[in-house]
Amino acid sequence: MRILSYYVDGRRFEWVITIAMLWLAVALFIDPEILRSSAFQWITLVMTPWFVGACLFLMGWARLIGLVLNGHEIRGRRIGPLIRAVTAAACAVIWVQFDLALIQLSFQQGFMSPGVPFWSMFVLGELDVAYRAVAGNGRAV
Amino acid sequence: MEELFKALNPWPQAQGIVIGLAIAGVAFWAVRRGLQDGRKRDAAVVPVQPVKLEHTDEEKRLHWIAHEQLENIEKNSFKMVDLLKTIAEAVNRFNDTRWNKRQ
Repeated sequence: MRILSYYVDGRRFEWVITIAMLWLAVALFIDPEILRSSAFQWITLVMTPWFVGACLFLMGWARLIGLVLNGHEIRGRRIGPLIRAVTAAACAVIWVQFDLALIQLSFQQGFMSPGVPFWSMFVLGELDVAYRAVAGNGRAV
Repeated sequence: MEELFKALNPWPQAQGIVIGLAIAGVAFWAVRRGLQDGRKRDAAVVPVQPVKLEHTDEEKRLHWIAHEQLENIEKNSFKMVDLLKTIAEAVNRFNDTRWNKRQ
């Protein structure tokens, strides 16, 4: 439990999102139709499911490395927080695409999709992580 | 905002690219600001200065006595625990007697 707290403490949101990203990436590689046939079908107008899967996998993997590094110094620099901040910024861009897909769907169906508030807050949450990860030098501010 | 989305509705690709770039800009600003604030915070931390303490003979003697007392406590810690157990048993016995008398 102690080692779990060491890696997870203060970064629970990032761990949860990272696992979800890798999970969705693997699912997209297995069956790309899950994006085309879901509420996020509008994303496929801008990006192919393979591209979305590859982006999620690469960013999720990079984020996992940043989280596992957890403040370790490489050549006198803490590289973990920087990786976490950059991946959080990239994730904000991807999540806003998911959010826009749901907004498009909302206009099409005439009422708001229940996912819109969640994905909008995910975008804000990622922007917050992008700031806090580097502002506190890896520590929670 | 709604008018903006309605205006962009026929061009979902443009909407995705434009808003994606806007969020990327905000995220870039957040990372940059975070790095600046982190540097400011690091600069504000006063580095620890090593200080060598000079003790007088009297202070050294008191330290020696304190260490002797600690050694004494360490040697007798098991005895102290046994004594505490004896006291706890006596208190329990007293309590049982008191409770029995009330029956």
